Amino acid sequence: MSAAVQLEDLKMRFRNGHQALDGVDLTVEPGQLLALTGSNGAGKSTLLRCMVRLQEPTSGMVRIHEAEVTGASSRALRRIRQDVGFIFQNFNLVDRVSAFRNVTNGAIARHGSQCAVPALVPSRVRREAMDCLERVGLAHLADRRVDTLSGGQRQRVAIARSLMQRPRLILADEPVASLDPAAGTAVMELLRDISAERGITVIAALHQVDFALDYSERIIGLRAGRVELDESNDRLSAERLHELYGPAPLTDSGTRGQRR
Amino acid sequence: MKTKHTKSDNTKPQDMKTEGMKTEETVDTSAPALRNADPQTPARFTRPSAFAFVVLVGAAALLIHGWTQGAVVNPAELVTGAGRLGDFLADAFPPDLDRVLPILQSLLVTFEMALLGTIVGVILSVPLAIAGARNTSPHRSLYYLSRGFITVCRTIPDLVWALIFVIAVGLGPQAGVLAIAVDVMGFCGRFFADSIEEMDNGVLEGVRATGAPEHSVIFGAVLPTCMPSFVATSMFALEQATRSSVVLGLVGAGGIGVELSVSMALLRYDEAMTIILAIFIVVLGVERLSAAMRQRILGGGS
Repeated sequence: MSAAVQLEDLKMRFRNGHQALDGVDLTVEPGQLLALTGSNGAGKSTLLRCMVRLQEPTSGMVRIHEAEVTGASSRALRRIRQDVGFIFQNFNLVDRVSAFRNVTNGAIARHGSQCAVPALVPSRVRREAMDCLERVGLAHLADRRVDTLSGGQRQRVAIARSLMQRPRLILADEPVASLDPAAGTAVMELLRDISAERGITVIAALHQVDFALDYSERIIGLRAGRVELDESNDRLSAERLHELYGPAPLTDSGTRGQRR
Repeated sequence: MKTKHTKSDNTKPQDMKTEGMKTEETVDTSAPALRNADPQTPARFTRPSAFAFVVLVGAAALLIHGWTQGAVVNPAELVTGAGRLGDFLADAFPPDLDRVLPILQSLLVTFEMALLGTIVGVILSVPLAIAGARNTSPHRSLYYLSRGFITVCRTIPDLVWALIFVIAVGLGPQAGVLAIAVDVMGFCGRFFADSIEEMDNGVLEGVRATGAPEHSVIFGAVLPTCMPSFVATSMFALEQATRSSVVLGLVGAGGIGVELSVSMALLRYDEAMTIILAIFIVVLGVERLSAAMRQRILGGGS
């Protein structure tokens, strides 16, 4: 089976000179739930954003489901994004409209622009949107404006929107960082379950070590834009993972974390 | 004292470049000493900066030139002017209500002119604003083109647009409608675009990340997010349009202004007063209405 995501020597340098990604090589098998960990500024978000070019990588190659993302035309890029759900830390929903309308927005790429206008959304898309909301447990709040929902509910609406894309891959950028522990657990369980049910590959940037250990099959540790650790979950101890955040080995001149 | 300061300040930078590197202590100790040899109370008057000086002199020159051209406020003439204003008021009251029906009719047409002009202007403003907002503009050149067009619409006064459209489509309300539409485009185009630019970029990113093409990002995210601000701005534009539609008649672009200028020219001040009062009531009414609607939209929204 072909890889869900392939990264080769991916580099990203910000205009201010900060090297956010410093040559990342990574292959993700389909159906895996993979956690990206690392301290703030290690490059987790940048890595996810570069995968679908919400940020432009400086060099290197990204391939998703065998389609080359880097160098794709804007039309080709849209076709690739259609299969990839993206979950944001701050949900990035349209606040002033209903949960339902946010979910139908997820159908635009597949069913055409009429899905952006409530009156024109085809009936089968409306039914599917209700199914997606049902799956995340929010069917009863379909009519509610998003800005009246709690953080955990909003994130589940965002997941419903990405389910509407019928994704093969979900990239989740700190999906639980803005949520309280209970809501965070619910969102992680949902991500794990839909990954298992539908064979969706999930790559989640998480900075809570516990969530990473509890929910992922494989853990990638980033430090200063490089892959520092790549282990399957069962062979990894919490201590080893905490080390990623803690001090670098003392031989390393002792200036951990604060470099640059 | 003063000359010593400036002199040493002039020589200082060269010193620092050539020798300062070697002996840092000399720089550190001498620099504060030169600045503040004997600290004293700040001067009572500070010398104006060169820029302020130029501005003041420029303004004075303009006022003097204007004086020679008759742009003055002459107290003596104010007194006689006030007397003549009294004559006008004495003639104007009581207002002559003989022609009140045709006046109201023409006022209605004036408002309808404003309404249609605003609607046309608002509709055309939306695509202009989308092209003229950095975060939604399809291309950089379109951004500048649109912003430039909006600026032209805004900076040329509506009376001038009315004169131009009277040439194009002839005397009558149609010229007024067009002048108002262009004026509204200058106003709404600019504020719509600003409100799009103020959007949280994450909202756009959220929809773009699903693979949606740009035009459906507009319908799916931009319009619903900006709608309250668009409506409030449009109501404000309607207020302004009602006010300016009243005077557009003065240059022949239809509406109540024609009536007013005729009454004035015929020295029918009592009739003119009826028109002025009617204008006052209508403009005030539209203002109150639009304020109430804006309050409802902005206040009750979230």
